[in-house]
Amino acid sequence: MKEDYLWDKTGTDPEIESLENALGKFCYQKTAPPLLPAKVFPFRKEPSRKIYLFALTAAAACLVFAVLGLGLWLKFSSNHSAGNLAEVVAAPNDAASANEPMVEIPNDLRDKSQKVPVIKKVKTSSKFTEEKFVRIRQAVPVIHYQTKAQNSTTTDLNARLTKEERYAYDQLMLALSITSSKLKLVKDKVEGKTEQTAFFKNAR
Amino acid sequence: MSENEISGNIFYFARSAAKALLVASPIATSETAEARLVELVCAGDKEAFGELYKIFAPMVHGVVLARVPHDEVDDIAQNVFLTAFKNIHTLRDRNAFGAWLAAIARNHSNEFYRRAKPTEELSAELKHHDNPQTEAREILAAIRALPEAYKETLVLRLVEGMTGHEIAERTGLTPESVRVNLHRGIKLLRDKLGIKE
Repeated sequence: MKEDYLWDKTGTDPEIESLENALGKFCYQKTAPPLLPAKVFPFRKEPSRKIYLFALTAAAACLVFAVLGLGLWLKFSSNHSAGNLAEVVAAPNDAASANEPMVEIPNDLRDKSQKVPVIKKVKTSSKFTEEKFVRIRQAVPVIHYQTKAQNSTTTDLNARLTKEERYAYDQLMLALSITSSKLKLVKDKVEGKTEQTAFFKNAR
Repeated sequence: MSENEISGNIFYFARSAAKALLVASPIATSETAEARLVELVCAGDKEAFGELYKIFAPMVHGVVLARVPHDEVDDIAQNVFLTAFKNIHTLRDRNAFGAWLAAIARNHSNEFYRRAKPTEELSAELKHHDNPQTEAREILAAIRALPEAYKETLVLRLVEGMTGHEIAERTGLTPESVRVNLHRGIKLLRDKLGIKE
């Protein structure tokens, strides 16, 4: 029964009782609680959903700027490496005929009264930029969302554009398609959808 | 009925019974009450903090007394409660207020020795132990010389007069640990004081 007294004070144990009596004077004497500071700190709240949305929006914006920047850089690098690849020279048709233009102008655009800019090759260049473009096109699948009307305008546009302009146009479309697929991912994440997006389906 | 079904049923009922016991136990009920008080304090209720002070002041006093001289205990205990009040918003598990407070008390006690000034030993004449006060100090010194786990539990039991259940409830220790600490601690104390069973 000794252990019982030690545990829950049932029964008797003179030895422990004598220890209690001796140590009793060190016991806690009731005192008033300390004076508390005036300001009471609120309980810390969990970060709200708004913060997550803000962070996602910021990330999406950064991504858009990055992709646009990449597109512009690719465009300018190809144009400024004109010394390497090609040089755009705006010249009247009659003057250009002597220099053998690189791009054939469609017949319907061959209006002698209009002055159409012609691209002509000035120097032989490395194929670095072209290869880089091809590599990017192979790595990233591009999604085209086009209506019938858009399709017809696109073919018209392709017929009218020069090689360099078409290249820039493709670059822009590539950048926009990447951006839109990333934005769709973000949107799905925000809405809590778990479906695979077309981007990943195509990638597989 | 297959063996699997039978064993499944047995486990199910055993689990239900254990849950019912846990809910009905006084410790679980009081923990909920403390958690509610903590919640009130977080909402800005200072009277709720006064209630917490009443419940936990003896425990904090005991934890500090197990480590620092008796004269310093009251000041340190007050500082412990002030620190707890300032940082109560950082407490995630509101049921663990007792264990958290005990940890603060231990830290404050250790801090006392870090910045304590050097003291002088008592002379031999003053050390003479004929009066009961000196005897009590010797017993307390013997308890303080015990390992950490035992001295705190013994002070709460012998000085503050708490039962084993109360010690477990206030400090956040399991009742089994408290029982073991009490049993082994009292045995070591007997050896130190030269008391024969």
